[in-house]
Amino acid sequence: MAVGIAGYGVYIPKYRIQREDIAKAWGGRGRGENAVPNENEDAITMAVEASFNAIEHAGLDDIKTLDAIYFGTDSALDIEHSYMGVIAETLGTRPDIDILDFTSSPRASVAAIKACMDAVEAGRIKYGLVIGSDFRTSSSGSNLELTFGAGAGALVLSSVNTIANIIDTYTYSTNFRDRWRSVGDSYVRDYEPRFTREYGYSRHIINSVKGLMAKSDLTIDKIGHIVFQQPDERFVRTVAKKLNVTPEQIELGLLFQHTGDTGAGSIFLGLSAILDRARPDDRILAVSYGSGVSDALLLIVNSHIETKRDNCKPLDSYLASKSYIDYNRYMKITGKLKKAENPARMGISPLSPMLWRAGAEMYRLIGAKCIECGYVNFPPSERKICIRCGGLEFKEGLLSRKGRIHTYCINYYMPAGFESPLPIIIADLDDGVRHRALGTEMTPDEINIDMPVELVLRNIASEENVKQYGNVFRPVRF
Amino acid sequence: MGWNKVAIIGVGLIKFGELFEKSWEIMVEEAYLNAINSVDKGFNPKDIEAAWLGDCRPGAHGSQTLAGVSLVGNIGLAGIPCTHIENGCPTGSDTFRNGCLGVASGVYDVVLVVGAEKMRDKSTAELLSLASQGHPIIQRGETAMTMFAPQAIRHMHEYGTTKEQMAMVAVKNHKNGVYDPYSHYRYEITIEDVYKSPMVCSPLNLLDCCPQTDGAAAAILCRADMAEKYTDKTVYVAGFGMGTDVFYVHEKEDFTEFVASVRAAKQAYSMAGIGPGDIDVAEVHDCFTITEIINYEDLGFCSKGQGGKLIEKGETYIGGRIPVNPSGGLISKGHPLGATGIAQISELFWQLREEVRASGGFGDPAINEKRQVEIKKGYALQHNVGGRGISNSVVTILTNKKG
Repeated sequence: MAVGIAGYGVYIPKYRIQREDIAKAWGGRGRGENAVPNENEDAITMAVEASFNAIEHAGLDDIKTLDAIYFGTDSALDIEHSYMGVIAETLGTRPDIDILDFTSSPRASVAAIKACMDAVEAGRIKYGLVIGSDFRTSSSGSNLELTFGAGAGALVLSSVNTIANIIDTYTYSTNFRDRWRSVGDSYVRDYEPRFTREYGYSRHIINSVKGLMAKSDLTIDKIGHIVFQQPDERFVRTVAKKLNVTPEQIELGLLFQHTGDTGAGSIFLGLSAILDRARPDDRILAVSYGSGVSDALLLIVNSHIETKRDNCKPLDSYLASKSYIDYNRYMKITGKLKKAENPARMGISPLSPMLWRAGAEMYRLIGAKCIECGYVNFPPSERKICIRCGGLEFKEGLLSRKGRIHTYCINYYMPAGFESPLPIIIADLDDGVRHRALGTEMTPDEINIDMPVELVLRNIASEENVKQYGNVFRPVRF
Repeated sequence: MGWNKVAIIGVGLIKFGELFEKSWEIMVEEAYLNAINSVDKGFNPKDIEAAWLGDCRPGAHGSQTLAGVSLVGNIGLAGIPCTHIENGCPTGSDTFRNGCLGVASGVYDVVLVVGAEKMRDKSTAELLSLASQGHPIIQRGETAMTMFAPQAIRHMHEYGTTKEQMAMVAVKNHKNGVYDPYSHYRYEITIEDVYKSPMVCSPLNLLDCCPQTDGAAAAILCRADMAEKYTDKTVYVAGFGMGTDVFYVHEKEDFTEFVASVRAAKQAYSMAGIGPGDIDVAEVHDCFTITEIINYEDLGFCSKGQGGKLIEKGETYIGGRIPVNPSGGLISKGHPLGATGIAQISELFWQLREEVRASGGFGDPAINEKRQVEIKKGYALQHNVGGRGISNSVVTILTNKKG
């Protein structure tokens, strides 16, 4: 049974820092830019947006047909406990699906693709969602700070409705330590860049590519587009040269100058950039690397790619929708720069029973429409009696994620744990339902009554390493 | 005519301010003693049969008071019934309302109501952390400011209300506060001062907001038909009302009014048998300047959308058509949540008795009397609005007319 991509989606945060600005702070040089998540973003929220895009592109009308979520990240938030439940509840998947975490390496997400392929091939699942999402932390002034970016990609894999099929895979691994983050470390450590590049990255990739070429009886010049894991542009160009890969072959998928090293998102984003422009029958090679393992995947695009193009949010639109931040703000939103004062406790407890009872409807944005008067009550778990007419019968449905601002304010004095200034937005959603949420990524002078906004999942609070998610309004990005 | 089943025979309050030197207990004791000592013909505390305590957020603000015994157990009245009321910003006025209900029920003849709030015993950082209380997702970041400021934005959008008109409210109330010895602030400001003060929650600057204030206030109520035992200048409760609205902000239908206030006012006017035109003076909830402008409309002092024009024309100044907040209001006098409503009632008690000059024996009479309004029809109105969703409101109407 041929397994392939039925849909793909990406997410790249809005903020960018120019490497030159990082270099200014510490000396040295830098060119290009890194994508930087806002302070209320993390691997989970980025994964959610990419997943929504992938599901829409795949044309999965009923989310309940999704059988699995395989999540690959190198920025796992907890050692024990996974926030994948937040992704599942926000997407609204069935409770009996496969939920799997793949961690500990930037290639974890490609391992997730392989595992998902196996499940589809075995006939155990029909549609599986694979996500690669990362924002890895670096220490200030390190080489890694110059290269680490952020982003997420998601693929819906299936044996039906595909736009590109995965023909073969090959994995090459050795016991090799180049970068690592141990329990208690707040950032990724790096042994020696040249050792990593030559003995880690290049050697493993060369072996996996050669292995796959031999296995598929192909030569590298027969491949239309190639995406390599992108820890650095120089890494990519070095290995390309050694494999006799032309600059044209890597051009579409090379995003390092725009996003930085997106870790577990790297292959997904590069592959998506290629798919955005690929034509039927194009061969694509995707080659991961991380922690002494390289996976090579061979794909062939089929004719459905053209028919599904309208459902796709192209990667270019995320690249174009950006705003630059300076190094001070970068330090603040990445949590590297903190106020010295001991902020008051935020009063947030893990809230487990409440989130267990009502988390899904809040992430997913489910409203309960009164049969009697039509008013949409929110949240449904708290509104068994219609607040407008006292009706007792409801029909649950998804709220629109887009709307326009009815009124707002901008609060300039917020305690630790909140963005400041913090917009509070009251908006009328496109379905007529009024909704109130925090605002994000909007400057005080651009907020206006009637401004179009959209609800996106973000990390809205965290205390003692417990994170809490909720939807916030941001201006419609594109 | 008015309901007039309950009479106020004494009131007392303490100077509001940042009272780091006074404990919650001391504040309450002083307000209570001032109230019983204010009774014209003398008062025996043994006459008090029941008490109500208003204290809105004792834990959050630093005093650890809990339950009714916090009041009676600290002022030598242990033994009588006492109930603790928490009802958002109208906590003080709702405490008063419950005292009225107690007397009017016929169960008690004489009762005590005390409102108090210690607001500065916690650090500013801890007070800010109130933003993380409430529902952790739906009400995330919700503070008083974030519920009032959007009303300002919408009122400006729909009715052309201006920042200048809002600033005029602060200028008026600060001017009045100079004449009130109990006021937290006692200095005048200009419109420019408001603009230049830091932006707190757009569109509201610091001087558009009331301060964090410690304070306490008390009142003694009795059956109207026995008031003569205590005083010859009785002030009666002509009517009261309490209105509520939806719980969550996203459930609100109209951001240019406070429906709870409209409902409370309607009940109170109906109970008193009067209309807005009969009010000589009002003490209303000006937690922010925009609130006072919206109150003008909600309470019927002008038509909808005309609140900004009303202050611009100077009609709510002392000497104007309908003087509002002669005490300086929350903006100048301060807003110790539990105390505010009863302090407003104290001010109106003195206004109706034309005793502002004395102000309970506190301050310089020559300065105090500058805030005495002219009493023509003999009715005064008190108002608070607040709580979650700004959906709790109490309106009380007092009168000096017996009939």
